[in-house]
Amino acid sequence: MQQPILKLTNVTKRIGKRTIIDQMSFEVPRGEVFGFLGPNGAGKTTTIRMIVGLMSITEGEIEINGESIRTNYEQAISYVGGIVENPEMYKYLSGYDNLLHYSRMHKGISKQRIMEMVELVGLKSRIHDKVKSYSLGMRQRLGVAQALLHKPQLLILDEPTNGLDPAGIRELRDYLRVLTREQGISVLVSSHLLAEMELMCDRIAIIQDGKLIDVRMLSEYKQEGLNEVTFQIDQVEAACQLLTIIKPNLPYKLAEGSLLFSASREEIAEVNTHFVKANIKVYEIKVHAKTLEDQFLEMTQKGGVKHV
Amino acid sequence: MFNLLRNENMKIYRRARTWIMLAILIGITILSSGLMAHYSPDLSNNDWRVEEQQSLQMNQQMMNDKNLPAQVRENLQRAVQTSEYRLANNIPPESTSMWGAANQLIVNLMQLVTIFVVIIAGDIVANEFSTGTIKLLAIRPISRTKLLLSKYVATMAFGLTTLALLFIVTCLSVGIFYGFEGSAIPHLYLVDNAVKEMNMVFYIWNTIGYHSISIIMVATLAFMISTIFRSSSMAIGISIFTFLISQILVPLLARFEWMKYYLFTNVDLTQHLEGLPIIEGMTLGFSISIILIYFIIMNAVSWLVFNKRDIAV
Repeated sequence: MQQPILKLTNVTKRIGKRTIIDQMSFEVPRGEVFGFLGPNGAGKTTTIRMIVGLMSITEGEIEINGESIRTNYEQAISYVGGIVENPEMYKYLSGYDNLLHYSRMHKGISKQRIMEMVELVGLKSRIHDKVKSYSLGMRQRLGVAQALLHKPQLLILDEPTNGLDPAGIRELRDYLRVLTREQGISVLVSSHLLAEMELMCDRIAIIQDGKLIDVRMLSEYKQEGLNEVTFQIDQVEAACQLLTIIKPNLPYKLAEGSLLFSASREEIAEVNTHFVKANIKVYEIKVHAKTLEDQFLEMTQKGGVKHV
Repeated sequence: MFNLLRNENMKIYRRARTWIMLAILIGITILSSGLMAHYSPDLSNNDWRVEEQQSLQMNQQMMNDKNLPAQVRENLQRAVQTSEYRLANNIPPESTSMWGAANQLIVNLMQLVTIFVVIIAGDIVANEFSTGTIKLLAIRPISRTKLLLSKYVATMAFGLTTLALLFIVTCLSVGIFYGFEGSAIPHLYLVDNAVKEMNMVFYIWNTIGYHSISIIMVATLAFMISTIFRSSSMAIGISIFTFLISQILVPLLARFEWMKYYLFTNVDLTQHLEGLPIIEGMTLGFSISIILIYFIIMNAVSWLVFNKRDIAV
């Protein structure tokens, strides 16, 4: 198997006696958009800061493209482009000067490359204006341009959609698609907004209280588990009796003209066949797929955190 | 490293604040030389020989006093020698040309330069933290040591640029107000009981060099506070306060022996040229050592803090 672009092994961060991040291990495979999901204060930003070397690691190891961020910082970080929280720029400089500033900190970035990035993020007409005059969306785009200047292999975005309007979020999402599909860049993106992650990511890691709870492909989340299903039928009584025969221990609810229960996809088909054979008219089968949000809340609440 | 310096310079000189400070410096220089020329327009070029003769006789009389301390006698001896050389070679004193005014003005206005350099030094690290730009700055394939060094060097380079500007503007404006006559006269100094001549430009830069030690040390202090507390107002405030209060406190507290270990008792090395240190027993070597120790400690602290501390803004 290909070496993962980012690998965390038992990473722990303690500040004083408080353990902020506890034994976190995961890998980001190449070419994926990897979502880092957790409620506010779960340790997303701390983890990202350790990955980019802004914070020291108390224990454990972080490798980027096989290079340790602890012992080989300059090499490891050269593979990374990032925005940590808001893309803070020098407001008294123009957008172009900001990019020039960062380009001087890497080897071999030409003026042409800077202009390429400016065009990619669609800032060409305003690039020589002071950043002071930019909207938040434009600053975010400048942030993306800054992060991509040196052709990184791993792009790290911490809460990139903070303060963006829906159009801006959509735009960002589209960039990420282009970057991963066309240029093979891997992306690590953190957020506390689930709906967004669902649209953006291939794989999602859920963290809470500094611990990694789960890492899964998004498609797995979608298929997993039982679905709430509503059958709209004509003979509710008969259907109930039949259901208790087919699935004796299945709890169900009755409503006017409909029957509610939880079942897997296979079971739903099975129940339907029985109903049809028993001459019960099935008008409609409505499946309420569990959203990622439901699953997320379920998982994080098991940990004992009250969701406000 | 060169690119990092270009970045730091871009960040210093693209800010309106920097140009306002330089404009203030130019304005005050021109204003002060104008005021000087207004209130003492006469450089008394004609009768300097008479005055020199008088002071020579006075100094010689004073030297007849048997109870004079050795150091005072030595200084008087130098003055006498210089006066004799002046009269013999017809070299008027500096005060009869634009140089006297220029020298005085530059020494005074270097206090203003100190404050401006401290503003840059106190802001250059802290500002990256308060705006959050430190995050994008620190996630580059560049060690934090180099980042910090580039900021320190850029600060010192700003100081040097400001001093050069002060020198040029002062010479021009004093020259315009007083006239450039006599600008060729040399400065006289003694080496091994022989009077030597020195180009005035060189002499003034020599003076600037001596007074720059104070600027470097106050700026280093501001730089350190800026790095530790990440607050530019605190760095600038504490440094300027320390700098100004020291000018009052050092002479007041000079009777205490321990004051000789205080940085600002030592920064003015000209006290050793005249052989009259602020506290008896301080030597040139002692003062240089104290300055170096403070310099190394303050920079080491900045470096340690900047390198080791987590960036969480």
